[in-house]
Amino acid sequence: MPDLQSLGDNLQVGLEHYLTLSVMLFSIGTLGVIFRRNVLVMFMSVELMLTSVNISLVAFSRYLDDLNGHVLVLFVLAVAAAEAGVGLAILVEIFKKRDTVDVDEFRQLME
Amino acid sequence: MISTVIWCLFAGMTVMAALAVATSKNVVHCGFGLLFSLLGVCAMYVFLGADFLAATQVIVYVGGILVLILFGVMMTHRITATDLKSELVQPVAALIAAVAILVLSVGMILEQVWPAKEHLDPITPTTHAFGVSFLTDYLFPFEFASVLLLVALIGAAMFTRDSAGEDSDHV
Amino acid sequence: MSWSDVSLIAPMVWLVLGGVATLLVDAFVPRKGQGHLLITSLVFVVLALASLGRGSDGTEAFGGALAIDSFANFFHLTFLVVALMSLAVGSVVFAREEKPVAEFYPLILFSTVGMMVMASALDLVTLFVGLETMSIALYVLSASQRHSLFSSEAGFKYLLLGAFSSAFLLFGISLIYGATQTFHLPTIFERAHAAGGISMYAVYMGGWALILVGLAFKVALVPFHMWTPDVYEGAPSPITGFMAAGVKAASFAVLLRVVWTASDGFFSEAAPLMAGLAILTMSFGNVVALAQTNLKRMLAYSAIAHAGYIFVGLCATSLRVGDPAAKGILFYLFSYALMNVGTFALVSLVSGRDGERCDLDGFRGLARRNPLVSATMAILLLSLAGVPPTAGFWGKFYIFEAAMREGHTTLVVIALLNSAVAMYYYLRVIVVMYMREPEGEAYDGHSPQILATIAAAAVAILWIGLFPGPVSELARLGVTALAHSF
Repeated sequence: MPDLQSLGDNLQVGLEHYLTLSVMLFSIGTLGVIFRRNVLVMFMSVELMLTSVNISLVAFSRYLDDLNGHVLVLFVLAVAAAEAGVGLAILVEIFKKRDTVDVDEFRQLME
Repeated sequence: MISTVIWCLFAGMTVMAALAVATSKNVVHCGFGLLFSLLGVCAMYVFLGADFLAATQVIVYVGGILVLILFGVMMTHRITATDLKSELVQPVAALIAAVAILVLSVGMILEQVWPAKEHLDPITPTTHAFGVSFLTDYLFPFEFASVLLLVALIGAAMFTRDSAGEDSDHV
Repeated sequence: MSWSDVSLIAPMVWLVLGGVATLLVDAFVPRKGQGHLLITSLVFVVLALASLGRGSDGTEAFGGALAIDSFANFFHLTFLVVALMSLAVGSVVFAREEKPVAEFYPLILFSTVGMMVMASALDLVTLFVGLETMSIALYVLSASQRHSLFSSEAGFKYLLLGAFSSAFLLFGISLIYGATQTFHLPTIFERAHAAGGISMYAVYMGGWALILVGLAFKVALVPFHMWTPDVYEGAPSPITGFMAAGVKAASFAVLLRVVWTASDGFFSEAAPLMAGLAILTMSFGNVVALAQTNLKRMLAYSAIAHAGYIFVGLCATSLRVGDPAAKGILFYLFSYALMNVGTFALVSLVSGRDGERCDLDGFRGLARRNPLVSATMAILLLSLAGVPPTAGFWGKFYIFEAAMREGHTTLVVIALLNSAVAMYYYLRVIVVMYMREPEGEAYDGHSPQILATIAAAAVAILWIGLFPGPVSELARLGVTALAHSF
């Protein structure tokens, strides 16, 4: 296996390729949020969108030779983790209530 | 040359896995799609010389968030099978919006003259610089992030505590 | 960093301390009821209010992360007033629950700090962290009504769409960073106005567009509004009031800074698009509000319409020192905060524990049963409709007049037509209160906190309506400070 140093240096890939990858992931995530009906899948798609932003940030950082972009990535990671925690807590709460509460009672809100 | 091929493999894996998240009918498959997509992104960080972020990505995303999501999948699997309907957006308008984003961004990428890739500085470790910028330029957001995490902690604890109280009522 | 930085952000420090203090008091002072929590949190909000007004124009704290100037101070005042009122109202509503939610107090305080950070943020990283702190606290608060599935679902919907919009905002931030190599707004402004301009121009423009989309979700502009009605209806009423007023003010504070940073370059190209957004938002909000019979839902659509009116002001900002349209926006946001929190306080008073009387019929003959409460409600609704002499009138007047002077005649005519349409559904509530016979059981709300809050809101609205001078002057100082930081 080639060492990481030469891996990065000999790469014939430019900023535009990273950005294309990032935009593709972002669009796939957007479509996932819009078209899927399963809330967990929608949630995963949002995570995908946040990750795609991270790729573009790190790529800009590398090509501008400036570390500030990395800092924002770390904040995005923290926020994604916090949102995942809160979101799944609410979701479990919903499913618990759905078990005990009459189905017709909440049907009205879901549409 | 060989590294470019490896890059393409990882990029392909990331996109294919992401597509699996957005299209698979089985929620567990979606979860695993997310896993491979996140690992692919981690490989991108390595290519870009972001050593610290690559490690964090594995620990926080793959180790934390993904496990949490899979946990959610298992806990709610029985009910998720019925598909919680959620009419958040009008599909047609949204599709137009999503396609517009894609077209605009690709147009933007094609139109732009990008900086040359030959003059890149060699990759260096980033952890030291991270520490310095968190305690100088980004001191305030760094400290304030603790408030954000505290809020998330209170929130998550609130829901679990409530349901615990509910259970003891029924017993 | 030095102590002077910490003393500059004293109001935020007090609120964070207050949040931690209420948590500790709840854990270690076992008592029935929540009076002690309310008092603890109110004490810290008052301390924060007392320490407002530090810094002068151009003052930056923490190496350019935050601006503590008249602009920030104006918004800090707004948020603290909103927090004060919401705490008083919420303490009653949450005490009605079988198992009271003590987390309400710290979460409101932390969310308010998040808003304050947003209004002060001079760099995009700080802005993002502030915005997420505000939002995550609100996701939890929207879902905090334990017995109601509706509330949990509102919380989750808000979280999902909130994270979705954050992704757009972040992508925009990342593009701006790519084009300018910095997150610091004044530096971005400098680089955009430097001799060579910005080499990655397409990326730069795309960045502002995505940031605009991300914030449009937060202020609920059409077509980014789809979460609003469900979330506003599902969340507990005091929380709805808090977020409708607070989130809107905080997001518009950010939008103003963003508009001034991006300045002519972006907004001369995007002007028709922005005018279109404003027209769409006002018209959609008002027309759909006409058809609502549930008061909370009607107010949700009216909140969308109000975002449209304020956005008219944003279209008309001249980006000059002492810009009258920007002053109008600040004034509007302050008075909107008062009337909106007041209205939702009244809704929680009348609608009872499960919100079963949120329907318009719940207000039938209210004037017969409780003349004082219905008179207050009438004042609040007339202010929302923009009838003189109320604060709501002056907010609209300042914005529309400035837009006229900037030559946005079509926009102003459409906005005025919309105000006329809106008059109908606000007046309908007043008619129901005054002209219909009461039916069903009487509402049981006699809570001194809520009554004091709505009375204070109504008096303040009339007072500002009769004497708009002082608030208008504060707003003008704020706008001057905004120009100062670039």
